[in-house]
Formats: sequence, C-alpha cells, structure tokens
Amino acid sequence: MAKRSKKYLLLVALMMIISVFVSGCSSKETLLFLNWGEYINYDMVEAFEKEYNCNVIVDLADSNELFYAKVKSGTTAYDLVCPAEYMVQKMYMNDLLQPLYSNDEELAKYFPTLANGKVTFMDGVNQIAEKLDISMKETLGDSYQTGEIEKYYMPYFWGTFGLMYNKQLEIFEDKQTWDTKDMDNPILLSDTPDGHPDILQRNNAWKIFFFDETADEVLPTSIRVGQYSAVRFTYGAVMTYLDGTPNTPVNDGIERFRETLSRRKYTQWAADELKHSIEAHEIDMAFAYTGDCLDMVYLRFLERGLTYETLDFFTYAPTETMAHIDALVIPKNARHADLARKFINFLLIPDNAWLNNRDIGYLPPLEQVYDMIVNQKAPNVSEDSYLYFEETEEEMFWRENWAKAIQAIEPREGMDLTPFSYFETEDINRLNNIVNNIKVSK
Amino acid sequence: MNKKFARLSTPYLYWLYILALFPALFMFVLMFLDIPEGLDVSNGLKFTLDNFKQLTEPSTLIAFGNSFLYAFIATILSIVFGYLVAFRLFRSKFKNKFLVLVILILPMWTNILLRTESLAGFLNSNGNVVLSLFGIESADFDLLGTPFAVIFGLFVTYVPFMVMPIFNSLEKIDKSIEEAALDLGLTHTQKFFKVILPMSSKGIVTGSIMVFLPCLSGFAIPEILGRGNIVLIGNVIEASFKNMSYTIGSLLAVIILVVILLSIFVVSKIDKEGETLL
Repeated sequence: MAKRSKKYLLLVALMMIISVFVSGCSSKETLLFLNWGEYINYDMVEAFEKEYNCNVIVDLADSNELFYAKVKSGTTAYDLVCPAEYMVQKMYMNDLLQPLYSNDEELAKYFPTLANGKVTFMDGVNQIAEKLDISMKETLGDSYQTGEIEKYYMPYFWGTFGLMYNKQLEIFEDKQTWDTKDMDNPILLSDTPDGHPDILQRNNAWKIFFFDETADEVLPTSIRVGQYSAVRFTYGAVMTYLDGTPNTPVNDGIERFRETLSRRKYTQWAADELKHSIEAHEIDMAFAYTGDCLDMVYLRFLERGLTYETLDFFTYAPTETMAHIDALVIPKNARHADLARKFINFLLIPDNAWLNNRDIGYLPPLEQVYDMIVNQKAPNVSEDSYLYFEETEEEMFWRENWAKAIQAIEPREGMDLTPFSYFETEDINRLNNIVNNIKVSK
Repeated sequence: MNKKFARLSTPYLYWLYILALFPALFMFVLMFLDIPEGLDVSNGLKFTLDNFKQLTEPSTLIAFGNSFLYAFIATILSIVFGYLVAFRLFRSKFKNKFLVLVILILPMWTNILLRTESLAGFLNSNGNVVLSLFGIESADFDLLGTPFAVIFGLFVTYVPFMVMPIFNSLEKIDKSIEEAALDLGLTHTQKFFKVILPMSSKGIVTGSIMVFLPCLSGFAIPEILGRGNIVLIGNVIEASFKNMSYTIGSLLAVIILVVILLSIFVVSKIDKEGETLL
C-alpha cells in the first residue's frame, strides 16, 4: 500500500513538474495586466508584444473594489492595474503602489515623450487630477507633498458620466416643449457638431432623470428609466443633482437620497447591462458612463452603417457631472515593473494610443490623440506598419463619425467635473440597504 | 474490490474539506467579527454582534421572505408539472425512456446564464422572440422585471431536478402491487392516490429539496429576469461580498446554509436507503 501511494505521489509530482516546464518554456517576460473588460485594443497589445518580445496577459475585474482586493491580497503579483482615481488614492494611502518615476531624471528616462512635452494631457484630465491632489492634501495634511500622487499613476482613459437615451422617442424629439419648459436655466445648444438634436442639453438634465416635479410634464412616468445598481454611483448622481457634488458625506445626504430615489419606479437596476437595454429599446433613458455609450455607438457605425446623425441613441452629460480617470498603476509587489513602465510609455506615443482608442469609447487623455481623432488623421506610417489603415471609403466613413461622436462627449466649456471620493464599506452598506428598501417597497 | 476504489475518493474528500468545510467554518467565525472591510484585521480581532443588526433591515427580512415564497411557489409548480411529466413517461410504452430523460436534461448542458438570458428574450416586450414570429415588434405588456418572470425562470430552470427523482421512485414500484390494488377493488383513480402517490412520495420530497434549495439561494435568475427590481436574499449576499462587507455577507450566507443543512437532514431521515439522487 505504501508503495502504491508513493507511486501516486510520484505521478502527481511529475505532472506538476511537466506543467511548470510547459508554462515556463518560453524565456519571454510576461506582463500581468489587470484591466476592465472590453477596455483594451488587442491589436495594440500584439504590437507591444512584438516590439518588446514579451507576453501580455490581461486579467479582468469589474469593479474598483475588486481591483483593490486583488492588489491587496497579492495572491497574483500584477504588474499593471487600471483603477479609477479614487481607488488610486486608496491604494496609495495603503502603501500598495510603487512610483512610476521618482524624479525628473527617471521621468525623462522612462517616459521621454511626456518629459519633453511632446504629449500633453487634456484639460479635463488636468482638472480631475488637480481635484485628486487637493483631496489627497485634505486627507493626509502636511505630510503630503503637493503633486506627489502624480508620480504614481498615468491616465489611461477618462470620461464623464451622463444620461444615455433613446433618440427615436417622440418625447426626446419635441424640442419645443423642452426648450421652453425651464426659462430659468439657459440652454446650451451650440456645443455639439452639426447641431446634433440633443434634447437633453439642459442644465437641469438631472431634474428630468430624477423626476423632479418641475419636470414631470416633460418626462411622463411612462418613460422607462434604468438606474445604476452600483450604489456609489447612484448616490453620486443624486448628490450631483441636489448639491452639485457626488461626494456629500453619507450622513448628510442619506435621507434626501432616499426621498429622491423613491420618486420613480425604475424599470431596470443594472450596471453595464443598461447600455444594452437602451440599444434593445427596452428602456428609454439610463445613467451610464458616456464612454460606455460610445462603445455601442461605434458598433452602430461599423456594423450597421449608421451615421452620427442617424443614430438611434446617444448620451448627454449634464453641465455638473461626475468624471473619472482610469489610470495605470504599478503595484508594489509587481515582478516586471520595468516592462510595465515600457507598456505605459508605449501608450504615451500618440500613434499607439490612437490605435488603442479605436476600440474603446472613452476619451483619450492625450491632447495629441484627441486632435488626431477629431481631425480624422491616421498615423503617418508606411504600409507594412501595424498602425497603417488603408484610407478606404469605409475607413473614412468611420473616421468621420468617430470624430463627431467623440467631440460630442468631450466636456463642453464651463462644465464642472468632479471625481468620486472613496466611501467606507459601512457607508456603502447603508446606501445598499436604502436602495433595497426602496426596491422592495415598490 | 470496492475498498480499493474507495481510496480514489480520498483526493475529493480533501478537496471537500478545503473548499467546502473550511470556508463554511470561516464564514461562521466571520459573522461574529468586527471587520470594517474585506479581511483587513490590522485593527485586531474584535467580537461583535453588530452584524446581526442587518437582520432588522426591512429589506433583508423581505428578501428572506421573498426567497422562501418564490422558492416555495416554484417548488409547487415543479411538483405538479414534474409529476405529470414523470408519470407520463413512466406509463408510456416508449422503449428508450432514458433518451427522453436526456432530452429533458439537455438544456442543462448549456450555461445557466445563457439560458436565463434567452428566457429574458421570451419575456420582454421589445424584440420578443415569440412575438416576432408573428410579426409583432413590440407589445404593451412587459413581463420582464415582474415576480412572475422570476418564478417562471426558477421553475423552468429547476424542474428537471424534480422529474428525475420522481421518475426513479415510480420505476421502482412493483407491477404486482398495482395489480393487487386493482384486484382488491380499487378504481384506477383510487389506486393512484392510495398506492402510487404514497409510494413515489420519496421522489417528491427529494425533488422538492433539490428544486427548493437552489431557488432559495440563487441570485442570477432574479437579477436578470427581475431586472434588478426583485430583491432575493442571494442578491443581498452577493452585494455584500462585492462591497467587501464579508462579515454581513457571511452572516446571511450562514443562515441560508443552516436552512440547507436542515433540509438535507430531513431528506436523509426520509430516504434512508439513499435511492434518490442525493
């Protein structure tokens, strides 16, 4: 008997050894990237792999909290993670990150395009980064050196939150009613290209969404509305509508949060599914990332040949809204930090970032990339490059509509963008309970 | 011979200890601890009963109530329709009954999320699969997001679990017992209620447990078919764990676990020979 079990053990050990050899056969370095789903263009990844002779493994997570948990537990040593700015803040404060660069010398060494000013960040990114810095100072006090956090993250994509809506619905077409309804709040009509019939383009778009009494004639209850199920976002939207900031402390806002959400019966509570429901015309309006909407819009361009003008749904960001930067950070226990820096630098080259952006609806953090898209330009390369796209009719059609769509979600001048601050688990629990109580009472 | 093969189960037993027993014990400990977030015990381990406050939330109580109610209705529906199917199959002259059972189970080979999503395609008002066959694009009614949709989804998903044990227990009834019943003067209806139904009751009990338990603890079906509007206890547990509030999630999960263990205990009492699937 003893002999036999030894044999079994030997067999198991042998299999393990073989599997180790098989997986470790290639001498290539492997970059472990923890990312959101549908948040990277694999053509760009392939190009990076070729250029640096390495493997990139992309793992997925679906919430910032999960990013945090995975980095904190450390069971997998990720080299690159892509949390939103408030989670960068939390990771930094819990000492989970290593700096991308610690001084100007290293900045020039690792990220030359950024150091020599060849690339610059868009205004919105700077605005959010500044607010993040201020929030750090407020939390940490004098021990925090202004600008310190910037060394720990690199913006990957960014965007605003907005209201996605069905453009075909009569109620959204009847501009007259909407425009004259609220004379106190001037309407900004000229900011989208080609006078896009953007009926939600009012300062008080939040009012409509939250079924404010002053808006009830404009948007009857028969409109099917979807609400975001991640309570931090729901709370943020309610508080932006009431106070102009998504970060009102839970103690101050919880009663008003309850009252506001109770006004309407929401057809659907979900997260990413909301955009698909709008697309399927199962709901008429929902609160979502504007970039998420553009993801769907791009498919409309590419698969159905719809133009920006003939789209059946779109999104609108109210003047006061939430914004986010999803940033690349390197965890402290990363095994291939240098490769991770190379990856970040790869994306700081506008042509590569442009390629990455072709698949993703969010806004590029680099001004140069934004300009390329808006001016419908492609990288100036030879035909055998991975960046080469033949200027066929189809490609030009795509670029034209891409430019219009991305311009429409680029924050307008005078917009007030606020990033989320981090809420404690206990607060989120309280909000969850309130939302559940509302759901069961309907 | 048997003994030799028994040793093959050793890895599975360890597997069970590590991945089922240990986490359950761990959750039991967690529900009494004061941990602000995740498994962060940097502030030390503190005993607390604060987590039990969650049980006084109306939403938690209603979620528990709803879970039991929906699971109960789905189980009753499954008993009625499952018995009809099993009985029809038992009585049929069809040679390859196994094939029919396989066809019944066939959908279960696909992912449960896919099945639930396609059920949603049957129940929604816009782009409804069934209606589009008749050339109707959208209907006024919207079943998706209603309790009916959730119960229907639970029933359709889990009814095969009911058919199998009932069919098994029916198959075991000796033909001669039925003949005896008829010989002694029972009508066919009386025979069914006095002989066949009691003799297949084990199958009904096991089937009920097997339908009731997943209905009680699931969260995907209410989430998709209820469009996030229907809160069952599974959804509350899922949200707690997502929010890294492991202590509260553990508390609720342990309560469900106790219910499940009690049910299995009941089955083991009734079904001593272990002839059903459990």
